[in-house]
Amino acid sequence: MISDSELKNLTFAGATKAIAKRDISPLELSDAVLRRIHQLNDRMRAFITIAERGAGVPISIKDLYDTASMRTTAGSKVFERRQPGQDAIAVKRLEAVGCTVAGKTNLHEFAFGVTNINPHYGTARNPWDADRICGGSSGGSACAVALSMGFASLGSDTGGSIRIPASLCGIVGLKPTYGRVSLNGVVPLSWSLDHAGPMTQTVEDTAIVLGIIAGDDSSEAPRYTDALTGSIKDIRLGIPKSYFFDRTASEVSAAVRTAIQKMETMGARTVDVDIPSIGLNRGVWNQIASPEVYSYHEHLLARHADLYGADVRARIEAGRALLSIDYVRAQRIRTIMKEECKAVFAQADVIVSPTTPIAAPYIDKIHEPWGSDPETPAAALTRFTRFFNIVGLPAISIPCGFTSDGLPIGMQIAGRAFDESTVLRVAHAYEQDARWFERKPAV
Amino acid sequence: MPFQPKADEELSPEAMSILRMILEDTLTLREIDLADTAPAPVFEADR
Repeated sequence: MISDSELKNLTFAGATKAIAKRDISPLELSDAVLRRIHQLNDRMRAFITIAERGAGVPISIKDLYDTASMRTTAGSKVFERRQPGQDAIAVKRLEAVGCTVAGKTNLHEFAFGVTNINPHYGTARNPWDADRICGGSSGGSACAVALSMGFASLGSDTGGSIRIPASLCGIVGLKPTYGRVSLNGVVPLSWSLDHAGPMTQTVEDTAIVLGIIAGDDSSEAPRYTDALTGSIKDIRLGIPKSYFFDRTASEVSAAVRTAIQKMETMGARTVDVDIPSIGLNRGVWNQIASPEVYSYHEHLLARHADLYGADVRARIEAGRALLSIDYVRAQRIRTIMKEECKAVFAQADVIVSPTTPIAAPYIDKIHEPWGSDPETPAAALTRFTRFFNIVGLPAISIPCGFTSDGLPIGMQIAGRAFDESTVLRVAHAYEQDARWFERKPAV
Repeated sequence: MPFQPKADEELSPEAMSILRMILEDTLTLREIDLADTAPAPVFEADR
């Protein structure tokens, strides 16, 4: 029987190799993961639905992706009994290479929020301190990966929903370029901002899973692992002159600055970069997301308004009253933002920043200001991530340290469109040098 | 005109408060001279 400590030391890559070498049977591995999920889930609330017995490399899937074998609730009572007829394309691709879905993970209702405080299926808990949020909306996925309840998970990211929980839970989460991974079979939040992507313990695992799920059915899977050379010599790290380090907790800012210095000692160069329109990103995101979200929910709300949680229902309803001219204006500013990014990437290969301005906040203090201004933790968490949804560029969050309270700190590395390879190369080189992944939650 | 006429009349107080927050940012966006900038191709990523 595989012990919990053996499970905690296995990665997606390690599990795959162990099965290929017949060191572990797929059935034995799946049983061990399911046993751990059943042990922890009442307390951690990482899963909404747990699978029956499977055989393969156990993974979890955010309960926003369609699965033929299990219901897909989207974290809502509205879809409590929704049973899709087939798997989402990304799920199908993982199953085709020998993965088995151990369960469907908890999320902020309809993926519209970053706390993962879910009134219907419970609050997913932070693996490093169960009194704190794990972030969202893919919070159950991050908790599951951090606690070895499956060796990878699929999340979705509309304003930071892969990277934020990855940062708060101390794992790796990648939002690929818009269009890189199929959204077919994923319940939409905001069509032009939604991205599907992997959440794993290591950058190598993210590269492997991305290689499996990327592209359309006709294309050959790219080999992102080839980019993991360990070298970042002459890589130009773009360090934003403004915005991305503003109003940031001192321990977070210091950890990211230290990581940048570490990468410089490894041969990378830093370049100051500027995105002049960055301060407009909240307004642009809201003007694009709100009407798109309302458009999807218009008929569901008319029939099932009483089944929605109060916070998500209010946010959705607000989208009803916006003007189409403001949507078009936001799309025009989006063009400017994309052009500014092209100029930045003429000078730099990646942009480096904190993923979130703060580490994981307490559940019961989520509506209280976190610092000296009135900003709540929920508002702060998307401040550095949602811009990359607007411009559709790839961005990863990797661990870069811990606070004095023992909470993980995440560093965001963003790259050019469809250049996930460089993002992964930089993330992997730093990760292998810093080795934060060796620190595990006590649970 | 802050937002769609009458469309906000039946909104809950919670939704109205979110709408007011969005409006603050929207007023800033409306000040920007966009000249002949076209909207971004919404469902495509730029290579």
